[in-house]
Amino acid sequence: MRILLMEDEDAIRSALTRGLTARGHEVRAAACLADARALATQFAPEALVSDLKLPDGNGLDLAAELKVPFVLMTGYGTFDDAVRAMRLGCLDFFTKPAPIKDICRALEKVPSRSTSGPQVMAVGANGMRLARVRGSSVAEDELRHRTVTWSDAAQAQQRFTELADLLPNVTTRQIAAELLQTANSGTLAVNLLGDGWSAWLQATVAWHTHGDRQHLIENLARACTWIPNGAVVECAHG
Amino acid sequence: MVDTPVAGGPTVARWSGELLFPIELEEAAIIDLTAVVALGTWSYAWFRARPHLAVSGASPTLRRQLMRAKLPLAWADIPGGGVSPSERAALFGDG
Repeated sequence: MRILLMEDEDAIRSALTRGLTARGHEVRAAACLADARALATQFAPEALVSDLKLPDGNGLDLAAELKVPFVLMTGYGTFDDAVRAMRLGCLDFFTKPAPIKDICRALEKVPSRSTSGPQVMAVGANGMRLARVRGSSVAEDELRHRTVTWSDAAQAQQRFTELADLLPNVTTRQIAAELLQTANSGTLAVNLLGDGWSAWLQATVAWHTHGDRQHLIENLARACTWIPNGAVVECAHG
Repeated sequence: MVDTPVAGGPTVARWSGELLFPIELEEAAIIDLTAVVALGTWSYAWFRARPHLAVSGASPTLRRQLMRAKLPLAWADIPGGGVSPSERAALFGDG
């Protein structure tokens, strides 16, 4: 696996590079956010191992940009950092010094290249974007996605019409309509891929009061992930 | 659209299209769902407020959806009686 390592402490960066390389990974290491960004454009990492606090920024910002599975290490992490990391899809969150075997065990959760079907990763708390990991690179240029926000029921229905070209069939239209009606206000990001459709709902939803909707979406969608505020729904065409 | 059969039988309301957002629904003794492509969960409260309402003509997919929701519907057919093709399909899992 191609791993981008971002760690400003020289000794830790060196040790992790050796340890990950010894376990068969291809590693590129950077000591700061700027260098890591430059490396990422050439290297196309499949995973990120990063310190949380860097001289020029935050490891979570890079994780949000790269949209690859990631492991975070920190000596100063707070609960809020861990929550944000979790929402970004963090594989694991370690307090430094983190044993290399623990990091490698977390990296084993990265889906293999042979994984079929789209992999949806919701990124960020605002301006949601969805990315698909295809093989060993993020095929963002293949995405067609749109994010809509509404603050009342009338707006929700209006937003539905704005998503028309991303909703290829009755099933996807029905799922989108149900998601838009789960809360009085919220944000829905819709992503149309070549062979599927996915949606990320960011809204405060009391699912126990929306049981009919939840059951219908579960029956229609290929996969659902219910989270405390919203849902990720994946659906194939047809 | 609500029809009153010439013979003075029950009134029939024919719903149609993708009813995914709340609208005012036509009422009648029988609701014909033949032309309904999709029906949102917003309608469930409407049905639950009218228990044992007769409905007919739903596609197998829609019928399975409504059955899973355990709505208090009375599945019926507009004149003819017997088991309709859609009912047979729903019962025996066709389509």
